[in-house]
Amino acid sequence: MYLNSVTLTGFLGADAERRTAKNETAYVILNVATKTSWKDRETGDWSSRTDWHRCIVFGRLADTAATLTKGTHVQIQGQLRNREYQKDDARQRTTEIRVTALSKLDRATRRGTQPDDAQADSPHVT
Amino acid sequence: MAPSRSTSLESLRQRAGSSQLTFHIKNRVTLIGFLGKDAEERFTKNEATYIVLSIATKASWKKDNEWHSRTEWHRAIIWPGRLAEFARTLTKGSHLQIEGELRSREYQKDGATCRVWEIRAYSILKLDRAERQTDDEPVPDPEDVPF
Repeated sequence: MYLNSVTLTGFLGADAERRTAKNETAYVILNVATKTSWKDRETGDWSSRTDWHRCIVFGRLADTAATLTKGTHVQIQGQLRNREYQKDDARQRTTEIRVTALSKLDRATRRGTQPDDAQADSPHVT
Repeated sequence: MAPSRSTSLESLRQRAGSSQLTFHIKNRVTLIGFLGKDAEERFTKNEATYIVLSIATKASWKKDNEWHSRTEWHRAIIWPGRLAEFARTLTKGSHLQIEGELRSREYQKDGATCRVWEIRAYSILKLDRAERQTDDEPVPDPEDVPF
């Protein structure tokens, strides 16, 4: 009867951020960028816009998520959640994505996909 | 740029009702839920009509032998066009499936900048409620609308 599902494929705009909630649960925040482009009907020029999504990862998935770095190409599945918080005495609302599945999309140019130590020490990985 | 290719891209886009044809990027939201109030008509700067829908989804879980639930409210925008023509007829309590793109934008309110997340819908399905005839399953009442 209900479904609340988000699928995002995009790039991380920053390294994964580790946080700890009030009840001492560890979680990770991922900032995912998606971009759409379209062609202007009148001018024929291409324009684009980028949307930034704040994704929250809990549980075992958070360990994997914590290793992700800026620029990583990821696919995320999750649920939309609204939250209220206080900022400068004002009540703010924000929408976040609770991640339920996460996969790192390999890029052909990227090295270090094998768990070999020699590869992992490569300066390109940092 | 080859004009023929861009033309076909354009027509594909129109057919898909979406501007997402980039292969390595995707932004898709699928919601199934109930309308919390009748479809609202709004006007763009060019006085075209767009529609705002307020959709509730509910998640339920059992903890310590007790059922808990949480209702999430989503704001969906239907841009002027044929879909908006259809969407304006939707009424409170309708059971819907909506597909769209998650977007955020900023606006000014009392001198402060607020950010709002919306779903730019490109597909709406009205779901039949066959269970209504049997009355076995109670339909949740979307009473408390925050907007």
